Amino acid sequence: MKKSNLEQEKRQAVTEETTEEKVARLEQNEKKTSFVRERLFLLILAVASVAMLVPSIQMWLKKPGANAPGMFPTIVTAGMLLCDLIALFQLFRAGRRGDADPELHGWDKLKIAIGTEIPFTVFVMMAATILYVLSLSIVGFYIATFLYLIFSIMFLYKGDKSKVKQALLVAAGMDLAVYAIIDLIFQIHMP
Amino acid sequence: MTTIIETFLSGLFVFTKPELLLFVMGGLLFGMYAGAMPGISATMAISLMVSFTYNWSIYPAIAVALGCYVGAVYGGSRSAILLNVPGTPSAIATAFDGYPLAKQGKAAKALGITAIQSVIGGIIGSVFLLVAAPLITRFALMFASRDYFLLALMGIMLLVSMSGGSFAKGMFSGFLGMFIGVIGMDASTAVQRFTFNNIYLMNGISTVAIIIGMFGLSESLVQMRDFRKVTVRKQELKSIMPSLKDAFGYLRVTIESSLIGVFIGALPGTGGNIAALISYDRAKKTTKNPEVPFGEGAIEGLVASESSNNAAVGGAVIPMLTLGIPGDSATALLLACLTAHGVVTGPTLIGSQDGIFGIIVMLVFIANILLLPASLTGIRIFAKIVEVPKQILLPLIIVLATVGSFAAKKNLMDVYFMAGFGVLGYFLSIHGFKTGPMVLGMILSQLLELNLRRGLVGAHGSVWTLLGQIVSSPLSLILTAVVVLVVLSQFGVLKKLKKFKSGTPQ
Repeated sequence: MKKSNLEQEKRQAVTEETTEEKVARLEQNEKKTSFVRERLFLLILAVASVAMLVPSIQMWLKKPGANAPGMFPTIVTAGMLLCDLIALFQLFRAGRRGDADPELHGWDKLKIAIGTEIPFTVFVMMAATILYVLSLSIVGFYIATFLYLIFSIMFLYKGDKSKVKQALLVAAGMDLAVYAIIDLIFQIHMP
Repeated sequence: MTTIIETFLSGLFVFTKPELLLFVMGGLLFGMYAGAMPGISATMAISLMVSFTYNWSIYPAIAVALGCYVGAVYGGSRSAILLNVPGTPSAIATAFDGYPLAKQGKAAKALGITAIQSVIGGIIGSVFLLVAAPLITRFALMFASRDYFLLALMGIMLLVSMSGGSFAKGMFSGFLGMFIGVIGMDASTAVQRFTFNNIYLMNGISTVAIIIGMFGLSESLVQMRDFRKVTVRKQELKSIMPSLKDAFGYLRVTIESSLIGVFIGALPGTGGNIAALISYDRAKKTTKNPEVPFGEGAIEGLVASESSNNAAVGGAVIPMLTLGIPGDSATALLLACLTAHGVVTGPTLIGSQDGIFGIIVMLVFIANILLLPASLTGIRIFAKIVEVPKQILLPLIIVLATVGSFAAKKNLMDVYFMAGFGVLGYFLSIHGFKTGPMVLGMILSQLLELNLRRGLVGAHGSVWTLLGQIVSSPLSLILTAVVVLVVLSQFGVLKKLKKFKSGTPQ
C-alpha cells in the first residue's frame, strides 16, 4: 500500500511540474504567434461582417426608407465591419512586436499557432462537448451525460487510473442529482 | 411621496404569500454557492435559475432570480478571500485586502465583515430603489424615442469603455450582439430576417441559451488552457459572527461606497464590478491613516468593495424597471425573466394594477435581509466544495450548461445554439473580445431598433430633422454629448497626454 502511495505522489509531482511548464510554454507561444493569429481572426470576422452586411443592404434596398426592416441590420453590420477594420488597423500599427522569434517559419509556425489557438486539451473537449450535445437526442440525456462525464474527467486527468472510481462516482452522482432536482422538483423532463 | 407609500404597501403583498420567502432563500443559497465557485459567475447562476423557473408563475420566478442575484454578488467574495480568485467579477476588489487577511489567518473576520457590509450595502440599495424609482419614472415620461435610443447606446458604450481592452473590439461585440437580436421576424413589418426559413430562428435565438453558452461553456473551455491548482488556505473557520464594530465602525466608508454603488449600478451598462473598484479607489484615497495599509488587509478596503457591489444590485434594478434598460448583464437576465413572464417594464410599470413594482422592491429588500443568516452558514462546506479540482468541475459546468439551456423551452435547438455560441465565445474571448457588450447589445437590440425607427418616423423620415430635434431638446443633447465624449475619449486621451507631456517643462 505504501509503495503505491509513493508512486502516486511521484506521479503527481511530475504532473504539477509539467503543468507549470505547460502554461509557461503556452504563454510564450501565444506571444510568438499573436500577430499571425490575430490578423487571421480579424480577417475572418471582416469576411463574416461583409457576409451579413450584403443581405442587409439588399433587404434595405427592397424596401427603402426609415421604417424599413433592412435599416437596422445594415447599420449594425456596417458598424461591425467598421470596428473590425479599425481593430485590424490598430493591429498593423502596433506591428509585429510580439513576434519575437524570427527563425520560426512556415509549417512550424503554423503548427505552433494552431496549438496556441486551440490547445490539444481544448480541442478534444470541444469535440467531445459537440458530440455530447448532438447525442442527446439519440441516446437520451442520462446516458449521454454519464458517458461524457466519465470521458471528460478521465481525459483531463490524462488517463490516471486512480481517478476511475472518482469519475464513476461523479458521473453517477450528477445523473442522480439532475434527476432528483430537475426532473422531480422542477418538473422538467430531460430528453 | 404617495407613490413611495403606495409602492411600499403593494410590496407588503409579499407577506401574504410566505412561501415566496422560501423561494428567495433558495435563490439566495444557490446564488451564493454558485457565485462562490470560480467558473460560475453571477450572470451564469442567474441564467440557470431563469431557465429552470421559466414555466413558473411570475412571483416565485422573480423571487428566485432576485435571491440568486443578491446571493451571487455576495458569494463571489468567499472565494476572493479564501483563494484570491474572485468567484464573480464584482468581488475583484474584495480580493485585494481579503486575501491578505486570509494569509494572516484572519479569514473568519474577513468573511464576517463582507457578510454584514454586503447586507448593509444591499439595504441602502433597496431603499434607493424604493425612493428613486418613482422619481426616475416621472423623468422617463419625458423621454422621447430618440432619447431611449441614445440612452441604450450610451449604456453599451459605457460598458465597452469600462470593460477595458480595445474599444473597437468591444464595440464590435456590441454590434454583433445587436445583430443577433435582429435574427427573427421583424415585429413591425413581418419580414423574415436571417431566418433561412427555419421555424426555430423565426422566433429569434433564445437569449438564455446564448448567455449560458458564452458565460458557461466558453469560460470553461478557456479555463482548460490552464490547469494550475488553486489551493485553499488552511484556516481556523469556527465563528464568523460579525461584531457591532464590524458593522458600523466604518460607517463613512460604508455609506460613501454604497452611494457610489447605487449610482454606478443605476447607470445603464455599468454594474457591481465597476462600482466596487471605484469605491475601493475612493476609500483608499480618503482614508487617512488605516490601521493596515490598503492591499495588505485594510478592513476599509473590504467594506468599500462589498457594500458597494451589493448596493449596485439595487441601483441596477432601477433603470431595468423604470426604463427597460438593464444596469448590467445580470440585470439583463432579470429583464429577460420579467419579459418572458409578460411583465412590461418602463414608465407604466410603477402605476400598474398588480403592484408588481412594489413586490419586486420588497423582494430585493428581503433578499438582502435574508442574506445575513444565509451568509453565516456553510463556510466549512464551502471550503470543501471549492477544493473540487478543475478536471471535475469544468465538465460538470458544461453539463449544467446543457441542462440549463434545455430547461427553459424544452427545445434541443437551444442546446445546439448554446454549444455553438460556446465555441464562438471561446475564440472571441482569447482574441480580446469581451462578452458583456455582446450580451447587452443582444438584449437591447429590439429597444434600440424600435426607438430609432420611431424617432425617425417622428422626424418624418429625415435624419436632418432628427438631428434638429436632438439639438432642440436639452435631454437629447446631453445624452448625445455623453456618447460623443465616450467615443472621443478613446482617442483623445492619448493625444491630450502627449500634448501635456511635451508641454511640461523638464
